[in-house]
Amino acid sequence: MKKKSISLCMIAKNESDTIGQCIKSALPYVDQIVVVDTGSSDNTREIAANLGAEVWEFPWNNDFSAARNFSLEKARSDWILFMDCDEEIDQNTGQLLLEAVKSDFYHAYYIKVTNILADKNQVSLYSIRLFRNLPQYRFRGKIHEQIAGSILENCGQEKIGRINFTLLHHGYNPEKVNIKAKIMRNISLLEEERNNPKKNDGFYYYNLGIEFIRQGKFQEALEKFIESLKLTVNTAGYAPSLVNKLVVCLIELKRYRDALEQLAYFQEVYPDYSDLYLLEATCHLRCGRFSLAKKSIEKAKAVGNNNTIYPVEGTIFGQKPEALLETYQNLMLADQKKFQLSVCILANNVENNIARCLTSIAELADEIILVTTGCDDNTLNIAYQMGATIFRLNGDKSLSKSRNFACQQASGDWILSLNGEEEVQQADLKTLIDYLNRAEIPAYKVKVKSFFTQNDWSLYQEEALCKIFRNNKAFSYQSCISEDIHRSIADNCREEILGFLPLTIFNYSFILKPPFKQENFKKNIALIVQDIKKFGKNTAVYEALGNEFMKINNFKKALYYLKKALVLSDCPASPSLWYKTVNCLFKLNSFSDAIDLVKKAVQYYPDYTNLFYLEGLCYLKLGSLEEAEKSFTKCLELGEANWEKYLVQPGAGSYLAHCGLAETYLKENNLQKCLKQYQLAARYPEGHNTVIPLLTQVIIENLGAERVLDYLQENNLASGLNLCLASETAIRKDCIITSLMLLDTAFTKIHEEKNSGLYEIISEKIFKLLGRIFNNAIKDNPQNPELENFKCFFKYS
Amino acid sequence: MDISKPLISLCMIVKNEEENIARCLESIKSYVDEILILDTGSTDQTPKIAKKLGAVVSFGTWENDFSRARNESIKAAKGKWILILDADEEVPEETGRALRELAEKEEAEAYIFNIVNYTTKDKDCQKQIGLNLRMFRNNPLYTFQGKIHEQIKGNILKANPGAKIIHSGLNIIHYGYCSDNKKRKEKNLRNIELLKEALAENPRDAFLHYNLGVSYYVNGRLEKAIEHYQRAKQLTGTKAFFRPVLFRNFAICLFDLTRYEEALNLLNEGLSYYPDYPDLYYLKGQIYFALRLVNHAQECFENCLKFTRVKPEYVSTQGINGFLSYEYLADIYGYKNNWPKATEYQLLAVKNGAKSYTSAHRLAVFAARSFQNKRDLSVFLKENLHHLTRENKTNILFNAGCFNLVLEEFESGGENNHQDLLLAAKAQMHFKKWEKAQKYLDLIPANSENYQEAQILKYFCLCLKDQSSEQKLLKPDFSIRAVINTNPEIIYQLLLFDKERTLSICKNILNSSADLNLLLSKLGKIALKTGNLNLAESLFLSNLSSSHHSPEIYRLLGETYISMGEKTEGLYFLCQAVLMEPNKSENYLCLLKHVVDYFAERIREIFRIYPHWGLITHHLCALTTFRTKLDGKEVSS
Repeated sequence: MKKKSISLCMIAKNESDTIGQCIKSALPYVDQIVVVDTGSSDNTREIAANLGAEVWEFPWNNDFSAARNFSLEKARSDWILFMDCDEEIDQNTGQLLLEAVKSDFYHAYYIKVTNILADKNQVSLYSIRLFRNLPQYRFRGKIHEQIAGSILENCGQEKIGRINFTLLHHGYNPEKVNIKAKIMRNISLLEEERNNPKKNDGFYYYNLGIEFIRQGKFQEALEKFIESLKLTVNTAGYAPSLVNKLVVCLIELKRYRDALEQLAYFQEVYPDYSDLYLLEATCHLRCGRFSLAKKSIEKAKAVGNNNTIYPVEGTIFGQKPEALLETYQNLMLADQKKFQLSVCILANNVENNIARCLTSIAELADEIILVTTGCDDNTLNIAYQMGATIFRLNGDKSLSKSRNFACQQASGDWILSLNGEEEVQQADLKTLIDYLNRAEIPAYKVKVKSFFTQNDWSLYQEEALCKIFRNNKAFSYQSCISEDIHRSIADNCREEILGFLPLTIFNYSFILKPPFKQENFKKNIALIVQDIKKFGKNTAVYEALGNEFMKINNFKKALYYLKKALVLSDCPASPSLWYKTVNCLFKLNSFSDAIDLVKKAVQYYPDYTNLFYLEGLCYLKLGSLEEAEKSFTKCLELGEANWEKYLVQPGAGSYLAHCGLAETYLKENNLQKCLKQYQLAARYPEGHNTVIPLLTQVIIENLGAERVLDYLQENNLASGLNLCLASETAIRKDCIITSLMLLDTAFTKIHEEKNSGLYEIISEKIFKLLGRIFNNAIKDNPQNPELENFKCFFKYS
Repeated sequence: MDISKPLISLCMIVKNEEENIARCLESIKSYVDEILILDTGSTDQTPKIAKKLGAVVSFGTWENDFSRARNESIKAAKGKWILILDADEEVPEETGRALRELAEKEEAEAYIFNIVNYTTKDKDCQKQIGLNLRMFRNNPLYTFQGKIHEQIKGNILKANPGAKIIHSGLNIIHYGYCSDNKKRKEKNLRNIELLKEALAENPRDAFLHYNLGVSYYVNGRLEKAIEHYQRAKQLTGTKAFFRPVLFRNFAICLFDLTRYEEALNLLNEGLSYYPDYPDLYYLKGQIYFALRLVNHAQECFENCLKFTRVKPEYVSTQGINGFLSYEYLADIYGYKNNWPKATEYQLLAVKNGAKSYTSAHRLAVFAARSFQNKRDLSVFLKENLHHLTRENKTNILFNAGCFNLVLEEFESGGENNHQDLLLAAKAQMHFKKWEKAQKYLDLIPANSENYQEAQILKYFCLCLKDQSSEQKLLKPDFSIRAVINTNPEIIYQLLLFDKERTLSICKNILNSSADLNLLLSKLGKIALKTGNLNLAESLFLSNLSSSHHSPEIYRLLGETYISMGEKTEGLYFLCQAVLMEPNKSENYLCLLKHVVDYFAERIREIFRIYPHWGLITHHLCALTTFRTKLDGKEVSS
């Protein structure tokens, strides 16, 4: 085997005191030395060059990453070792370096950096400094370990090893280096040098860090604390507090895994410092590992607060541990389960969702396997910090490949299959345990609730999907786009093997902003094309095409494909296919065709409420009020459709049907009956988002705006949220005084309902109201310079 | 004075300072042993005046470098000590007398002085105090450095690391910051240019950025100032000597731009470094007061008062730990309708340095609301207005309704001018002493600027004295319409004496109802402005009942009701005005303003419960910024 070569890369500025020793220590091990000089005025460059280094100049632009990455560009060897000028290789460990680069498996290593301090007390940190020379591995941000992000994204965490190869860091040992020059670079101020040559100790940095914490600038604080740690001996009076605050910063930056690693180290140094266990508990809590948090809190109690040298707070970010234990008591479930659960997650660019997904299931997960086929945001970092094991698949983005790969990695008895945009309802976790503890069948369908918009959480659909199944290598996904593992389970097992488990999973993947919507559309169409190549043109791929076109509101195309799917389908076609087709016809104003199709479909599915509801809407549009009344009444008789059988949009069997009736009666000019139906509809709190605006509009148009508040109060509908909903309608109808009164009353509800979150909704409406008045002013007074002055204030409206 | 061995040399550099140089030299010449002046290119009388006052004047060219000029100016000094002054400065006597004593102290190498900056010509008004090294031993190694804002401290310490630099505690007065000073504007522009040049060479020099920020601020270019303050803040280390004042001036600039939230964050950061800097609390208090979070504001101002002494290294506005904070506290108590407390604090302010007319006027207004009867009020004001001129005093007494004191003052002898006569006549009218009033009015001659007002008052005196005389009298020899158009305030005063009669007299004089309505709305506006809300309401209502429904009256009535606390009623009228006259942006803006006020009040209530919720502060700041802009208070940049 060819010997693997190593390039040493470093950046330097006025390092003549140390750079020689640094390079000399590395000479026996490395094949190339790259020194990037960022503007030395001493003889750093000459020293380096005389020792055989290639010296490059790079104008300092305040960006450590840019300079470091420039040095990486110049490396020609198989591996890169990155060092600071004030470090040297510990010769006792040099052989470990040469061993490490022989590996075919690892792409990077955590190596040990030991800070040598004046009185021989040493502090060590692990840091990624050794990695393969690949163009995608680059530094980001300001501190060393942030090359980890690019390595994780490109090869996954299992490719990062850990060796005891050691760099000795002489950083700020006053005996060794010119402290002044160092500080100058970091603080870049002459005044500092002139006035305060003695401030350069660890305690000074510690205090700076505390100031940054106070300002909520945790990244800056962390940097100061790391500086401080380099200058601080373990026995310093403020050292325990420094460690505490450093971990607090990591936690605030959501770097839980890093925090836990630091804690593990310092718990050995300060074994009787109980707050360190509370910080450990915090990390677990924030990641959703409630039982582990409990254990940490118990450890903290066992340690006690006997040693007075520690600044013990005894709280977890201001909260009493006992109170937290009580709050999360019902979620500490891990002990009750008699099975091992592997959670397999597929995630690409979901940095806003992934944390929610992971916390929702971490308590029950014995392992979390995250597979990505391409991420350029922060998703992988977040997941890594929260304890997920990350794998990257290159090239093929097909769902079946990634899912099957994830399942192959799983070692538990059961697999729960999720997307990064999904979230398990924690209230249902107990049910999950109960079912799986006594399960006799190989797989379960669960209820997946998909939301359509962030603005209204009452708009969603429910369907049953197979998400939980035994870890059986024979089970596999087939389609590139649909979650169809149930097919292979059916093929491999007897009939009737799929049970229903009343576990709700929230799915946010439909909530996409327009540019992403288009992108997602393209990606999915490409996957469907793959399916067509694989399976030919069948009903499933046409339905999938219809789905995608519906998502981008192209109902014409959607209808075209759904109709094809209907033709190719077995008889009877699936209820969801009927429903989607009818929905498309309705959206395209083909009301009569829609009604005809409903009549056919309900022959097979006479209890599918949503079909009758659409029928009612069509009759209403056609002006057939009697027929409409019949359809809506039928809906109410049936109640909501069953999620285990059907694709369900909620409300069709309750409040939506009442609203349909209300509209029907209004068209018949029967205001009393109309209002009665709205009152009935309003008995379903989950429908208020739909009902209250409609009701408000009817009141404004028929009884007068001044009646709105009284009406809501008389009918016990004046909750804070409803008042806000009504006010929005009033604003839209330009009823200023009415909206004012409604919002005013809503304010008092903040206290009555003890609901501070209500404030956010009220304030949103206030700004809407102001924006509306202003827009009207502009409309009535175009090009008025006085008004133009205020446009900047209303830029969002 | 021993000429052969001079002790103190005064060294100055000047250019076109003929207005200032004499004041400066007169104040110092008897305390120094030689005066050396380097003229860098005057085109006026400066060198001549200086020579006349005993200075040795030499001439040099200006090379855009203050240090070079300064070093040139001290070269020829023969004294053991060098004193540096600028032409727009003045040395108070006690400072001058102390100089020799300072010069004889063996241990000292240099002295620092307080530079008292007057920001207006009025000596009682705002002052700002800074520190500067102005006297040092004559040593060729002690030279200035820095193109602008030249410094010598660095080189002294470099040449003599153990040098003792002592804070003398003595004042030098600086007039250069008076904003009405035209020359100051030129200097300001020149400084901006110089600083820009210097920054081109040293773009990372925080002190230059700071100074450019200050110069832009003085120039009124606030956005530019913010830019450089921001940069200075980024580049400054925590220990830089100008960092505290950077926070202060940066915050002032943000406050002027109504960027309240940013200012608040900046001040909180500043206070975390400098918890003993009262100006930062004061500014924070001002912001909270603008946000009408009066309890928070109160806490800030009370904090200011705790600092009996401000650390000399902090630049501080004089009175910030005294009368300025007292005045704000008085406002805060007024806002809370606690008039006795408001009076108490305003009195503290007046007794501790707030000597202006406005401050006295405020005292009278607060006292008038605080005292139950006129007699107590009279006693109180009599005791506490000694510092005012007679004219100001009578004006204040009249406005406070202390008419007997006005008359007492008038009859106490002394010179009475036409203004005094008018005031006395009005006071008599208040007591319904028509003849006496008439007598005073008759003394005002036709060429007086008060003549027209006197004539109107006289006419009304006649009418009011005897109801029947109204008809008998001929039409007055002035146009009442003109009076209504130009001086409705006069009619308004009469209204306060006898509303019904005054109105009926006006009605008789005016023959068209349109004119009467115009008068009524003008009177109503004055009543609204002066807080006489019931009167305003009745005037607007009678206007509505007598005429077509004018949208303006609806709007004014709306504002009146809102002032009275009938907010919904008021907003209803404002909406009506908008509906009737949508093409008038004023109606919309008025509605917006009051809707903002309406919600700001509710948000403040929530703030009281959740004071640390950033979103609420954010909203309150945004609304207040908008509100301030609606009021047109923003400083245009």
